[in-house]
Amino acid sequence: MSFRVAVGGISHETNTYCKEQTQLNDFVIWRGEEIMANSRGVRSYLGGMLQGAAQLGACVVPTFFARATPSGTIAAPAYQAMRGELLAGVEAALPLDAVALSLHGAGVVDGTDDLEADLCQAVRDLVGPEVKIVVSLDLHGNVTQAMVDAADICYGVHHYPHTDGYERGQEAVAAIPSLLNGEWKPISHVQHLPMLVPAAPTAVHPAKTVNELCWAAEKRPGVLDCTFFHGFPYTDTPQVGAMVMVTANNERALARQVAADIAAWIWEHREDFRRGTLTPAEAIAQALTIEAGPVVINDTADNPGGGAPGDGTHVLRALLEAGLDRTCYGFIADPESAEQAHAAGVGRQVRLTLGGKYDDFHGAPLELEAYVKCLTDGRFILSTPQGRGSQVDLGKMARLVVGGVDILVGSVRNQVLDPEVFLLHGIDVTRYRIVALKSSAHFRGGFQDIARAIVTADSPGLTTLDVSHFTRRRTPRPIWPLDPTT
Amino acid sequence: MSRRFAIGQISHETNTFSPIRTELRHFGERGFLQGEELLRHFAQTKTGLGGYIDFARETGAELIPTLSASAVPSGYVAAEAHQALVTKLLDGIQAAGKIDGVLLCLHGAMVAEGIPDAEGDILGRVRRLVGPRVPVVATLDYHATVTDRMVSEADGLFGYNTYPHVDGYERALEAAAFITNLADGRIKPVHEVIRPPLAPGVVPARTGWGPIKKLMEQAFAYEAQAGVINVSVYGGFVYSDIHDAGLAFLATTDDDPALAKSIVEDLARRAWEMRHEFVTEMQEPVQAVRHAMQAAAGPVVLADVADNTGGGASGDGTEVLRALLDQGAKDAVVITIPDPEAVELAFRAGVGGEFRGLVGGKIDDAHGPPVEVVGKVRLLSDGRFVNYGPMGTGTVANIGRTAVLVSDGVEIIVNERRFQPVDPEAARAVGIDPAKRKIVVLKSAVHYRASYEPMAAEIVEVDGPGLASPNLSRFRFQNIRRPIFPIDLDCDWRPA
Repeated sequence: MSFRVAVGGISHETNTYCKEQTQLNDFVIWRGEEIMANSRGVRSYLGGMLQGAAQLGACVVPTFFARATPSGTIAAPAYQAMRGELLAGVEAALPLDAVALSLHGAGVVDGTDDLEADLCQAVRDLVGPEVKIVVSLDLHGNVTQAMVDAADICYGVHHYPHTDGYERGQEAVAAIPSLLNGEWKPISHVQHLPMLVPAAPTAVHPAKTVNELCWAAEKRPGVLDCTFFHGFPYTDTPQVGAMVMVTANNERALARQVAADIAAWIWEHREDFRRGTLTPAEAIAQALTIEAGPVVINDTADNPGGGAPGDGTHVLRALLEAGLDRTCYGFIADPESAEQAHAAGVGRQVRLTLGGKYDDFHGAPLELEAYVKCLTDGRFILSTPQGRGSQVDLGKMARLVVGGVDILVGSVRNQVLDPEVFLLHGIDVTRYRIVALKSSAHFRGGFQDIARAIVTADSPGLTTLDVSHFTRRRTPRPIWPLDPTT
Repeated sequence: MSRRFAIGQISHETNTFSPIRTELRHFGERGFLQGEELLRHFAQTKTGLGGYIDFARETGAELIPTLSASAVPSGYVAAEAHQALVTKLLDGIQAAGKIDGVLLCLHGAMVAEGIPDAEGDILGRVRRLVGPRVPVVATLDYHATVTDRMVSEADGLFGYNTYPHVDGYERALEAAAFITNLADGRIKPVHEVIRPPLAPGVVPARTGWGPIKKLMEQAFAYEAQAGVINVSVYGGFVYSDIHDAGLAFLATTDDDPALAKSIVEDLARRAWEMRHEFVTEMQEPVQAVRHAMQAAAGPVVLADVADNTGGGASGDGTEVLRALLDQGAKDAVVITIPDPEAVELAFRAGVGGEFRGLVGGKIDDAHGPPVEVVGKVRLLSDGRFVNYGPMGTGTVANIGRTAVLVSDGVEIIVNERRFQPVDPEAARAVGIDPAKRKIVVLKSAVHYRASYEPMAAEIVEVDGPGLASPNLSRFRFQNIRRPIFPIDLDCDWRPA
């Protein structure tokens, strides 16, 4: 069955603790054919949607897609502009059988706590009740009942690292024929949990165990989908927290029951989600107990992929103080220092005030003298399953050497997902003893096969594992692990 | 009481056709090391000197470092450079005081102005200094020209068994074990060398393939016999146009001259019978690039064997690069074009800047004219990296300032110093993983095979212009003994 589907979306993970609002020019925006050109063959949500449509022989109308590196609350005018453009694109594409949206789930706009509910409802109001709306979501979404009610069916990624965005995009589009022919009449139920879950990789318990429960539930007759959303704890809104979303075929009671059962299991095992943490110095000491490298130390508290500035210095300072050799660090986002390194030139010594410029929370700037080993344009292509094939552009970059530590400096803040940014600068991470990087869990997709061990360093920062660190004004209380719960 | 050995290295492969006169400063480029610095530099490396150092550590012998000097292959070594190097070596040995032997790493195909047999000269002068009773032992490159003088001046010579040269370390261990036995009076070595009239190009004379593979196997079989100490097969270096250039076989036995003689005569006879296998077919640059572009999978390695810096060619040859640009090749990388002028231009443009200029073809006119390159500067680097091996694992390379230029689908690595890109680190160090490229152009004849064969979908040897071309009809020989095969294809020979 052939059908006509509009594709688009607005995707943002909002860390409401960032001091600055996210403006329109912080977004990368693709219009029409740009969506196709940037997504075809790429392992992303949109890449999967396009592939799903191609397999079904569907006619795709690319509309508008915007995404930004996680950052602060989205400024209202920025959201209104993007929302308007997306709706205009969908309207221009009418008549349609379906709309496929790539969203996040944790978008917060100044004055609109639930970006996705607002956007899905606006699309519904525009296209009417008959046109099917399918949505892909991130498992860090703070997903609400309003959001899923406005859509026909939503799919969240199962994995953290999000290696299955492509598959979920494909699945969302593949659902459209069953929705159109009436075979599926999905009813979704969102069961909230009063929990703030710190980064929980799905390769290990407890997130792994919950996924297994969800997959078992999906085998039950009548259950179309069952997904555990970890939620995004660095959000101070009424809907923050973990949740289980179950979609059943026209059986509300079944959806409720399955969601309640899995939620109960999670609640019972909530202490398993508590992460023991190591300071940067402790993490380094632990890494040094492992004979052979590379040992990956992930600087989880300054993860630009969760809204942190990416110029934090706590971990790098500890590495330099430890007097290590065969160590590399990727990377400090500091356009000023990158520019200074380019101005000084390859082979020169340069005096820098590196990083720590965004705020005091992520560590003071490092005053250092560094050797400029290599300069690049910061452009490379991802190799990790999460987004393989995507072009990355980090602006002017430099590889600096201080003692036995190679330090990468970039001009654009970004999470390190795979070894490509190191290779770009001539660093083969497999030869290093310690590879330190800014990421909470996504790096595992690109490093788990080459890392001898992974050690997480926590410190003050906008994505610290210590979710109790933040002032909560609007978060519903009591909530685990902040409050005594029973 | 622990034994004391002086160690040292002077190494140059001289391509007498190259217009680049090899001066003392050229030896400085690749490290000019003396004293403790020599030991520090080579400790834990898989090199000849690294082998001597490990031998000493394991046996408790004391090493007196004298000099290590080596230069990228190029033209005649200047007379004064040769004199200065030998003087430093001799001074180091003299200063060592009473020693139990001298362990050297030499090449064997060095030619100095006025001294065709430079290693014969070095060994002779070491011998005169230490006298007849102190053993003098050396490792030699597989591409050595083994002369009678070298054999008579040294107590033992140990040639690499491999090309790519991955056994310099092991041969040094063998040489060190030999000198120990000799000093202990456990052996009485005698030598026999033979040089049949055979001087193949270095490419068809690579080990692990064809006639040399069979000869090596035979040599190893002889080495396993009682009374045989060492049998070395030398591929020789035909681009060193001296009288004795070409294949050589050297056998060392324990006081059995007749056995040594019969071994080398048998090997020479076998080599002669297989001589026609030393003549190979290759593809012209344009044809080779077209072939690579049409290949289903990469990387296709285009070995620009004629422009092998390791054989004394300039390395800045342009014919393969020109063919890539002309045919609009995609996903291709050229490793490397040494061109300080282009590097300077790239550094001035800066990362992300436009590059427009002539690249390569500037060192001499034997390797194609410069190519006009229009592109962008992707990366700038200091050109220092550590070789991963298997050849020279752990050694530090400094190829001078380096830039990556991108012109459509072609990445061109330009750097300041001539060197042979035997190790993929030369590309990885500037952010390019050659395993992920469709077409990889290398300025190397054979050495690249040690590291590139495992990753290459296909290897194509290119018959471009260059001073290391296996196509010997491109050269005018003046000193090599004649007739000699395959320069003289119809010559005849019978072993005595």
